Amino acid sequence: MSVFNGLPPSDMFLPISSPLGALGLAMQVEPKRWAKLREENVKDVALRWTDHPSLVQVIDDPRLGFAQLVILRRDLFERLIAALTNLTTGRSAVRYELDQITKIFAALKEIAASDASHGAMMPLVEVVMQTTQRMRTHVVPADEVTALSPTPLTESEQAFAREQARRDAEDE
Amino acid sequence: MNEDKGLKAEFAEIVRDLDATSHGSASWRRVAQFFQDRFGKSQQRLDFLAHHLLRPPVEWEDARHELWPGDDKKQTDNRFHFLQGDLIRTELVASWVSATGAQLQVFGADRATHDLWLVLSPDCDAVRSELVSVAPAFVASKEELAIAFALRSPHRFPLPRLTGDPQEVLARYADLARLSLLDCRDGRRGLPQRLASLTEVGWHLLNAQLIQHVSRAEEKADAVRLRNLPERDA
Repeated sequence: MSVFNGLPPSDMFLPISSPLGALGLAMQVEPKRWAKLREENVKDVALRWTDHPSLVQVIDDPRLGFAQLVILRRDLFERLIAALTNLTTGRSAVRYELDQITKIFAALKEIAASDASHGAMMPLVEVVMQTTQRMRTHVVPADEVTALSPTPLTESEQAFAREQARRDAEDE
Repeated sequence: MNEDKGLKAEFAEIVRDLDATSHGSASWRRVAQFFQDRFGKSQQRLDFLAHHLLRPPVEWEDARHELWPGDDKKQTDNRFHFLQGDLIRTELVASWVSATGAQLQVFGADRATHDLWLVLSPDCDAVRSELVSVAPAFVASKEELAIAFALRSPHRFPLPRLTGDPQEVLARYADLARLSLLDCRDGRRGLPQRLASLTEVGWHLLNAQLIQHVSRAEEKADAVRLRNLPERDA
């Protein structure tokens, strides 16, 4: 007897939450047949992406064997690559590592405080803890969506822009 | 001894030539002066320059037989996905300065949310380098348009509006001061979407502006004097 017996199809998977949603990478996956898809024109595909930017189409065809084609938007693909990179070198990853170091020293502090023979360790542990806290605060700032902004206008640029605005407003 | 003197003289002459040509300020100023003298209004500069800057992307398929006829190896070695001056759309770029201007963006880490870039690296690096230098392209405000299209700033390269831009977008510009690198490692070079290439005029202007941006020598006499101050005794 299958373990899935009696379960509705939507419940046939383990209840593991997907991290992709949290990363803004939730996808709407749609299986398709090549024979059907090739009858469509690019307008149809574009229209579907307009309505559903996270649409991922998995294309099947007997000639592909066990392989399948996937069609997804480039920006979604790039965000997936970026998310993968961030898992190892992103702010969250670095902050996690710093958190671990902080926890290690917090534990050492506990040990040092509870054992008179190691009391000499306390100043050292305090210094390292303060340093890691500072690193956490300043080196790895809080998560935020960083919008790239232009370089602010310099004073001479502002002066030129004001003068040009006056000229632009003059009649011919 | 004489041979040594000859070498020094030859080297001095080469350096004099370098002195005359390595800083593009003079030519750049001529171009900027042209736009300021001939056109009084920003709109006139925009109308004139916008049509001279961009063309549809130069395709490798079209270029390969033209540039390297019959040479399969050279064609393959020089297969380009984009060229210097191309406008590309991608999110795989790390920028060094974030919105606040204070945070240092760690390369390889969380990227800024910007997706339109002008390729700055030379063609050769655009083909081969793992990290390609790019500059973010922004929609130009009225002030930025006036500055960029009068070539008044060494780091605001003028760009016309793009096909599909909303009506309110009059022009764009690339901000050469925002240090940004496109990560082309692991075979990702082909990912960016190409929107346009620069024309020959645009390409010359970009290179002149790049020189102006990194190596202008408006106070050249002072710069030379600085480098010839007597050395301190140890």
